[in-house]
Amino acid sequence: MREVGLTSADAGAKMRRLMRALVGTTILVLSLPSHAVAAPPTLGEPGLRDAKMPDSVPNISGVWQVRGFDRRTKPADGSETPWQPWAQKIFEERAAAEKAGKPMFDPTAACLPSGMPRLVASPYPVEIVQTPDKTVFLYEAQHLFRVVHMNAEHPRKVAPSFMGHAVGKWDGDTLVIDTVGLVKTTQIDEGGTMHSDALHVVERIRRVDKGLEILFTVDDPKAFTKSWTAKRTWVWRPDVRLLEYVCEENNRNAPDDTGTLRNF
Amino acid sequence: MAMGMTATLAFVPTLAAADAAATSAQAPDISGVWQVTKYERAIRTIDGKRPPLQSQAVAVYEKNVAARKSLKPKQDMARCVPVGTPRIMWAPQPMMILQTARKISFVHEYQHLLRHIYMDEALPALADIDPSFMGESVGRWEGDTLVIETLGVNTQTVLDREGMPHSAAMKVTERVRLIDGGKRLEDVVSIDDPQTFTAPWSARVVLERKRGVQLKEYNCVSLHEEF
Repeated sequence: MREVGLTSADAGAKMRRLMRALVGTTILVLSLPSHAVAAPPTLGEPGLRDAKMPDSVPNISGVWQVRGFDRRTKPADGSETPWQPWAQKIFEERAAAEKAGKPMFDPTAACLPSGMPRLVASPYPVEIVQTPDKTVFLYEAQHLFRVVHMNAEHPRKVAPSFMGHAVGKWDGDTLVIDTVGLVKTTQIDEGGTMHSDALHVVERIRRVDKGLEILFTVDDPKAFTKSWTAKRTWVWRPDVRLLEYVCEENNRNAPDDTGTLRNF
Repeated sequence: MAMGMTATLAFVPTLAAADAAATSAQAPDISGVWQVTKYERAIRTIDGKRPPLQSQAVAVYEKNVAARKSLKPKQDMARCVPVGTPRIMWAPQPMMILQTARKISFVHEYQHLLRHIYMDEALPALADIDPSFMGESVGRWEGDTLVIETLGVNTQTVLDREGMPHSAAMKVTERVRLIDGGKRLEDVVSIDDPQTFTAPWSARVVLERKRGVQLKEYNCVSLHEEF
């Protein structure tokens, strides 16, 4: 997929970010002839965020959709996924099963949430609503939602869930979201990159020319030899509204007469 | 910060958007987390009566009640299908309201259902709506009251746990307002469905503000009980 791996445009954006950091004044940044300056005036929807939000917080409210769909989520720098041996073995077994026409169990086939970070790459639209203490993601996929508690800390004990517990803060023009408390039954991607119960995800979201750039770091020492960072771009879709997506309407894993799900 | 200002200034509102923004600026703030104050298994009119079913609808209702009694607990996947509008308003789990000028979103813990209420827009004609569990909703502020109109709720949904039926032509009008100095939220739900009921009728549900409560994750396939 185009987004994965640094393109020359990304390299240019990186250089401009560096310049901006060096120059350090907003006015100069806005006067740069670059299209990658952090605050394109046409993005974000003032009417779709809580009126109590101060103007000083970048507006990312509105509907977004990932550019391109990739079944695999891999390091954005083009390097190989730094597998621990067991995680690589499972990945390869899954790939072989799929090739043989007998794919292995995917929780979404039982209408369970795709969870984090898989939802970053979901092909369906996402609506973001910003309030002073929360950034809320409303997903068309499985009508899931995710609440990011702003300027807050994780509770000392988090009951594991598919979406995890998320806290966020703005670091300049970048929203940094830290997610913990994820169940190990989810997949990192549709392709079968798995993880352990130690998964910790950090997203760095910022506005770029045509949307939002999301760099997300997968930190899971039990599944990978080191943490790695993937990337997606979400395109602004002011023309799109979320539709109703009801997984059970076309449930591929209906329970039998005893109430047992076929694939469990 | 210059960035945010740039974004705001660049937004050129249409006249309608400007009107909507003015109205919403005066609107009460109903955003936050809310939870019903009283569990109700069967929907009743405001004066406590069974809704005025047409005779053929009484038969459907009684069939639904009997079917529910014979249901083996935790058996049917139907329990994971959205309970729909307006039944979701009676779910005992907390819900969260996100309030903006152009859209109000209801985010429910139960079945992680979402209601998308678009402000100051005309309700589409029934014939133009692809029926869904939550229906199509538009809203407007009438003074301190949020009026929500909903059409296009599919007939896989019923109005309560007992199986109160409705037709595909049901129109739901809700009048939502803060009461008790903002500690509670009242939703008067009016049902206009001549195919099912002999007259329009209204029910009432009251929610209380839950400060500091975070919505939990609800996964139906973990075989939770239906409310």
